[in-house]
Amino acid sequence: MQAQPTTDQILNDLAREVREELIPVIEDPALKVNLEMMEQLLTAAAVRSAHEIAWMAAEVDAMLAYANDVADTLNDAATSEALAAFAADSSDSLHLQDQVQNYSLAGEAFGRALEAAGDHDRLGPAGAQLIRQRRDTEREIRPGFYFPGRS
Amino acid sequence: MEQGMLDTAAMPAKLEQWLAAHVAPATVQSYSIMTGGFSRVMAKVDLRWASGENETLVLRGDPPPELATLDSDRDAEWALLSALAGVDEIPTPEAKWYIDDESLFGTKAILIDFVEGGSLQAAMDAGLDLGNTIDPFTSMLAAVGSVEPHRVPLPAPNSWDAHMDDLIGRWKAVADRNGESLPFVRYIASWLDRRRPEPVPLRLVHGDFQQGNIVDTPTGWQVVDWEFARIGDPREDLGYYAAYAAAVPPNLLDHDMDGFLNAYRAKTGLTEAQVNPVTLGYFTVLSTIGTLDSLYSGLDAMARGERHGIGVAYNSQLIAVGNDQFVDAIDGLEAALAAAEG
Repeated sequence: MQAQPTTDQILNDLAREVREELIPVIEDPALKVNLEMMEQLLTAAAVRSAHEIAWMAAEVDAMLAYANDVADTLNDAATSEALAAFAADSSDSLHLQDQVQNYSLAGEAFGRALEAAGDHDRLGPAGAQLIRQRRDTEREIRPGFYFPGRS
Repeated sequence: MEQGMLDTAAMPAKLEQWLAAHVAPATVQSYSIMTGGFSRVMAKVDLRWASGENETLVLRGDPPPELATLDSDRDAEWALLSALAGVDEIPTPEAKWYIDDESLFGTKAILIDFVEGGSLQAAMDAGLDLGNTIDPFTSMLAAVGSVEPHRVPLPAPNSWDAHMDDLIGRWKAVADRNGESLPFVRYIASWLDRRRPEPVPLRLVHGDFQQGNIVDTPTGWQVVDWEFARIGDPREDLGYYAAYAAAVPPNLLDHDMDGFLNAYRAKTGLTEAQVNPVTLGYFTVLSTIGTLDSLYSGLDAMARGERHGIGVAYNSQLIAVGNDQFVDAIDGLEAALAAAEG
């Protein structure tokens, strides 16, 4: 396969074309809003294509570590069950769909662990910190965000 | 794919057919899709009645199902709009007729009076003085939040506690049924359950109260887009506004939070224990469940191949914005609670 320009370079160039060449000449306001959304989505897809497998893999490790800590400390059945589901159904494959499946399975264990941790002195703040890190990653996926067509 | 109300070539004749059968003969002079709302399809309709009179209406219905971004109920919206005609303190464009047969337009639809004017958002973007806007804005917000449940045809919860159980339960239900796991949602639901504020009387909640849904007309402001209205805690609208305006400035709360909350308390009769920066933070998070539920439903359906389109895909951006707001609000509230506890 032709690997360069990379997927994110191609998507970013499509986004630029929409932003610089199409939006300025479109007069239909409904179509303009759609193109503004499309430009943002192309930019977001570019960021994701460049990083999402690495980001998800790193988050999976962090989420599992936290969920295991909660399961061990609080003996929470829902968290343990979700961890068992990850162990049974996760995959070493680097294909996107498999990584997404791993991410979702680990996310369920993390979510159950957060519910169990609640206001626990140590586990509560630790879970909140992981949530903030997830938020920080989401920020990177929406550079230049604005609401199209709302005025 | 059936275009329904989006079919601008076919809609004028269909509309004329319905009007002739149910109201009076008329000619549709123009039919154009309006922008400004993501969830519903709205079309501006210029009519000439057989009597010679001209009238402009807004036709409001659902997009084709596979393009839907948010779900809401036209029957309930029509019933509410009809009742709001008798609530003098809330100016809203008159809902004139209801097309409850989906076979003609591919959707149920409401014909509403068209009111001249831009959105308050547009006026703010053009430099409207924010300090002078707080008073009328809080008056409108308080007017909505002062309507007792018996005045509108919306189901009323048995109690404030039951309502909160239901709202927080909806957060949990979103996480339970979504195809992809949602640790963010589980985190927020758990936090909401542990930080319930002091109760207040249940009242009308608009559900999407923000400057884009206020039309600045020559005769004053009018509140539109009632599709998410419900009976609930009036602070849900206050919190929703805070979340919305943080993402779509200007934010009147950022401009003068004390002035805003003082005005709101004075106009609703709610106390400082009930309305303060901490409870505002709580409801900033809680109140967005209706929107969030629909956003996740749209993305989940897209992942299963059941929906498509730019609007649905764009939900992924909106959810990230919401998560950002939630984390900020929770961090702010926890810091305030920690400070209060010394």
